[in-house]
Amino acid sequence: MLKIDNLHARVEGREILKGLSLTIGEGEVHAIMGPNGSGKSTLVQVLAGRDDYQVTSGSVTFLGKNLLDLAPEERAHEGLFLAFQYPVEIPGVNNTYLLKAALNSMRKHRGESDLDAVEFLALIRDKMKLMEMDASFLNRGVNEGFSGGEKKRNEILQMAVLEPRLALLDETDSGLDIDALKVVANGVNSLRSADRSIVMVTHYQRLLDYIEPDFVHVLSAGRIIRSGDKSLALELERRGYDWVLKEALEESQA
Amino acid sequence: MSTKPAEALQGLRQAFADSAPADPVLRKQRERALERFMMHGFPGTREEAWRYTNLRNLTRRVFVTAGDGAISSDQLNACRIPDLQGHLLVFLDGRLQHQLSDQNLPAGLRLSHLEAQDSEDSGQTLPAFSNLNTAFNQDARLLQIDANTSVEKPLYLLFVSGQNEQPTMLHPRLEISAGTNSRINLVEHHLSLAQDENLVNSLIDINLAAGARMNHTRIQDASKKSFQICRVNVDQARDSHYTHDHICLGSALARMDIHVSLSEPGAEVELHGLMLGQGRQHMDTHTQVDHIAPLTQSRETYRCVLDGKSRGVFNGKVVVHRDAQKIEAHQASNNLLLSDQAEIDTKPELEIYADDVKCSHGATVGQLDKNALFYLLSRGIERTMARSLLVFAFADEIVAGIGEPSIRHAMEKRIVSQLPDGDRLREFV
Repeated sequence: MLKIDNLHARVEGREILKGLSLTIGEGEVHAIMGPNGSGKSTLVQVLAGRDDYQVTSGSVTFLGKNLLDLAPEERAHEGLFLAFQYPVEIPGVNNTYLLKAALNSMRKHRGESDLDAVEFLALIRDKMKLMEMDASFLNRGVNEGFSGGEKKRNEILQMAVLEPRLALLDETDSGLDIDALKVVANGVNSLRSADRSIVMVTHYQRLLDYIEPDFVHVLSAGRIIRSGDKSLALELERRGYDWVLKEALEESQA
Repeated sequence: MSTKPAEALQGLRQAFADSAPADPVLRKQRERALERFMMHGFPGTREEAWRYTNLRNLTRRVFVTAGDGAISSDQLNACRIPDLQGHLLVFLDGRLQHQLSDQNLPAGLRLSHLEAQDSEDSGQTLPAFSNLNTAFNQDARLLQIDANTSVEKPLYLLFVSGQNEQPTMLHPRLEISAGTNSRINLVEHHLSLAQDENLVNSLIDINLAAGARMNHTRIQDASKKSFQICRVNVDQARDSHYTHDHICLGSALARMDIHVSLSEPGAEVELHGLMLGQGRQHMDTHTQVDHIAPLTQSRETYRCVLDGKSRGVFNGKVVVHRDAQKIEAHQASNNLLLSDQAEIDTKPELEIYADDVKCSHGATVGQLDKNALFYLLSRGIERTMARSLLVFAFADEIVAGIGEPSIRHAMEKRIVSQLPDGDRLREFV
């Protein structure tokens, strides 16, 4: 699905990713953890194609294509989806416009015709039920005046509508109370499938209680310093990050 | 210093000689107005109020007065706002077209000719274009709304420039007098049948008696080669309420001056405007609100979207007179530049001579929000469409405030139609 090889990236002249490599297979769920400033958010922003970030070397292959050659919208068309840590408020563009324009753009790319209004609404209603969202939300501006929980639910709603091959969830758990976290996790879990991969970036083990990862990686100073299964996340929860950082340092010196 | 291109002024004298009325009172009034205009000629950029708006292209032309044009009902139906159910008054080249207009206005609404006034001293300090209007207006009208009359349907004033062979000048003139506690929705719509280079110089005086409410929507969608000058003077009595929504789309050069006097306590005014400039269009809005009486309120929101080499000007002046205590005046000017060559000059001007007031003003000039654009792109929306969607959203903050749904929808469609990829956006409005 996705192969990242020795990726280096900088933002505003500062190198953040320093030789990151990661391979994600079909249907796998990966969690990327790490202390603040380790480069977690930079990684997903680079993958989604934000132009503030400059890739200086390395490669990223997504479904056989050179991902770094593609514009952000082309990456989306190929099946990449980023759930934002801070979803953007866009007053004046209502949620229905956004969902419809995005969905029809995807369908056009796949050679399918636009959904008509009735089909579209049926689809949206269904997904909104999954995310426990009220119908009034459709007529509101994108994320405008939404609570933190509503914004995160909206991200997963969009994911459910767009049905990506690879979803990057950037701190989707931050700012959620336990009930909202359950709704969001439930939404994500319902989207798990053999041909859809998920990468979760998170600080906390808590999210992983609800969305169980196949792999857990620790990112530090722009590189993955340790990978394991979900027991690694539990160990991090118990012991913090210091021991991993220390071990990694010792390994590099050995 | 004023520009006095001899030929343009000579042209005006000729036009005046050709069109001067027989009625001696009217003739005298017009002659005086013309002389007052001639003393200074067209305003030049050394005058503060015209600093950013150069009338060079206008003064290079010689305009003739309008003849008797004709418009078919098919032409009319093609250009009017389709779903607006109102009392229609059609002005073609400045003249009321009785056969195309609603014959029966509702009770309490009266339209008559505006009588000439023979007062020696009046108008000495009038702006140049007001004098020009007085010298040349052809079918000046007085609209009266009787006290306690609520006009249910909007009054739809359609000003059409006909097909003229030469650049033609039109000087619509309207005086509106709204009686005590009356209510009316007024729609003023300017458009052209051809890509004319006309000068349309409108002058509208509005008086609101105590408790009167007026919503005034003005749509200027005239030929993109034309010159559109407009002045609206509003005088408001106690507890009256005036709302003005202005959508500026057309013309090569547009200048709107709106001057509101809040003369008695409790008077409130809301001014909203959108200027959408493309190509080499130049759009200028000057507002002035005089808080003469205490306990008055004004609220202004103006937005400008400029593409290509277009240029925008917004000047919002608020004067709080001595003893006008406990007033509120808020003003916002938000501007979006879509190209490197577009330019906006925006300036608030506050003169405050009272001490217990709430005033705010803010101006922003920016480009499309990068974060919002990236968000839309990341959802697979193509760049052109994503940009258009954001431009539309910015503009729609003003359009969405128009009370009459048929106008709102017509304007949303109209705006979308001139955005790149607009066809695909259409389904969303």
